[in-house]
Amino acid sequence: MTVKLQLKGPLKKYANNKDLVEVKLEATPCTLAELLQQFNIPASAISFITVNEQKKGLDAALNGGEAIVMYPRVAGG
Amino acid sequence: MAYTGKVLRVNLSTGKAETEALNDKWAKEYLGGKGLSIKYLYEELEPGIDPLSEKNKLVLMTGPITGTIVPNSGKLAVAAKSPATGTILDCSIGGHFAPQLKYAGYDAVIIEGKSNIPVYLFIDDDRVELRSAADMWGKGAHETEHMISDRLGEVVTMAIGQAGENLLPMSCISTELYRQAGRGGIGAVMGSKNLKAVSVRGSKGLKAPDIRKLSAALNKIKKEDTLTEDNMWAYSDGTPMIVDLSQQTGILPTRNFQEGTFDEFEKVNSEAVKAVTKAKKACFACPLACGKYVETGTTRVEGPEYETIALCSSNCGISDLEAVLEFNRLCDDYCLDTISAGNTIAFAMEMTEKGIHDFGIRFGDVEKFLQMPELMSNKEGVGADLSQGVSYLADKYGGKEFAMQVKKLEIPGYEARGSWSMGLAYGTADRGACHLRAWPAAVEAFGDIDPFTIEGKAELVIDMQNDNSVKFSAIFCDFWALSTERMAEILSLILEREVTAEELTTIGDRVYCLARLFNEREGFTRKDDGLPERIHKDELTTGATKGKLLPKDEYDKMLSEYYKIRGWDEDGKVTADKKAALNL
Repeated sequence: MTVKLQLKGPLKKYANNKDLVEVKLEATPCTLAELLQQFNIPASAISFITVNEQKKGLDAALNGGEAIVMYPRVAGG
Repeated sequence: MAYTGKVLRVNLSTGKAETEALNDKWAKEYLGGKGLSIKYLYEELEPGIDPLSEKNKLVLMTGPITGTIVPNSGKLAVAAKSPATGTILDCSIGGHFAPQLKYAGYDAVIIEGKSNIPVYLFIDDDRVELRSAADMWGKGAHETEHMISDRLGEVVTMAIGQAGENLLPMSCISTELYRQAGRGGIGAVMGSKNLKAVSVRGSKGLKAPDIRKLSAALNKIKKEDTLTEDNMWAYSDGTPMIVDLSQQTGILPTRNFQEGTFDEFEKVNSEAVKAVTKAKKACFACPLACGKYVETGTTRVEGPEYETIALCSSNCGISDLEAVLEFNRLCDDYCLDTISAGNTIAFAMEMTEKGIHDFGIRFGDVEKFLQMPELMSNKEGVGADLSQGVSYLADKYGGKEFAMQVKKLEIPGYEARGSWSMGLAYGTADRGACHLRAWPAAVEAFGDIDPFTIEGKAELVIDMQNDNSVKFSAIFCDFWALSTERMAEILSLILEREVTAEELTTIGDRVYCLARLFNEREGFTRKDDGLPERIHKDELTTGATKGKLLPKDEYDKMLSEYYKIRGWDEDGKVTADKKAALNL
């Protein structure tokens, strides 16, 4: 099962500077936290993640076919 | 090392420049920057003065870390009574002016009175001169900086453009062409004094008692806490990164805050800006280098920042990036605050489209949009009205319910209906609607906290305001995401005494309450902490915030809780007990 993963801004470096990758899940269901681990992305680098356009927590389950977007942590304003 | 111990006081009416000792007690209680400049103004300004009269004072204040090897320590506080709001006003400006001022031997400059003729102030270590700016008057800040550099050689200059000369309540001060002390009409304070620019050159440096120890400690901190995942967005993308986050969470101001998403956001987001970025730029001692030189067609500019994109692109319905960049460049040269300018133009667009008053400009009208900076700065044609800001327009022509301002300061780039704590942050910001006093959108709309509840929001906003008061007093750049504990660790090294996070939180609270006392003395109360009716009554219609508003009764409850936790009374006045606790 695969998901489409889009990484914003500085997060792209975790996917060889590609902003959209097709990811094969190692097992299903898998959580967003496990997906972060798969790409070695520290949770501290993330502001929020959407799954099919909805903001989701790190414990959200993925079953394949989802479109995931990860937004980087920002500061200041 | 932390302080030079000297304040330069320049009286433009008499032409005298004198040095005096920095008030050590105040420096300990307020650190520097924001806090210390507000303290000086609170003690020295008569209540009720006209901000554009010679009785107002302009304070340029460094902080204890300014000019040292502490990362992100290049900012300067610029403070006065605001011509836009009548509140206290402190702005923060980057670049290299602040360290040069410290190297010239001063912690601060206090500028008083009014010159009879246009002048600029030149500070060259101990030599302080007022020089004629007659041939610079009427010119933009960019040409002014170039003219001064041609005459003085290597100096750092802060200048005003035509907007400041013409006393616009949205005029700013510029340095190094593209860095601004942006809000509240701080440029008009210089204009009212016939002060075109301040230039500084310092050669004295600062001396650390034990540079090896300091250097080793700061290198460790830099490695652990600067070039980290939390901060890399500033280097890789800068503030345009926030466009995507605001769009996705439905808080990107669009068409005068009628919506929270912009269909064409991808034409002006970070990816679009990066495609035309030619080089990076950093302020003094900054490893993050968030500045970007961009070039497209005939326009070259450093920027645009998120706020410019939010207010001047999506909020005006302009998706042409080149037009936004050119607008940005024009505003920087004339010295117009892009937040207030964009917000005001968007209001005029809505007024025109609704048929309430015809300002001759509609959403998405690029040609008219690009005429506005010049018309507004020179107060010509329709620009004469627009130059006075959104509150003025609403008083004169109507539309008050969708005039997006608090205390007459135009609201910046985060929609409060999709981030309720941002509403509270705007309502309680000391200089009117401001996102820099607290930016809870980062942990609410962009984080894990429910944006559509008032629970815990008062405490969240207070904590952030206190923290930022310390940041802006020390002065650390706001884009460095560092904890209070880390600030305490660094200040302990610089001040050579133990500074605790608790002490800093108390200082932050003290600074914020003193700003409130200043405003209280000027007649501001709870009634001035309200938000525009649109935020309470008009549901957003698109994206993640579709159907959302911030109900007035909920906002009022949040505000009351805020006052209670702050130690202010139900009318928002600082109580006697609170004053005593903070030694105010």
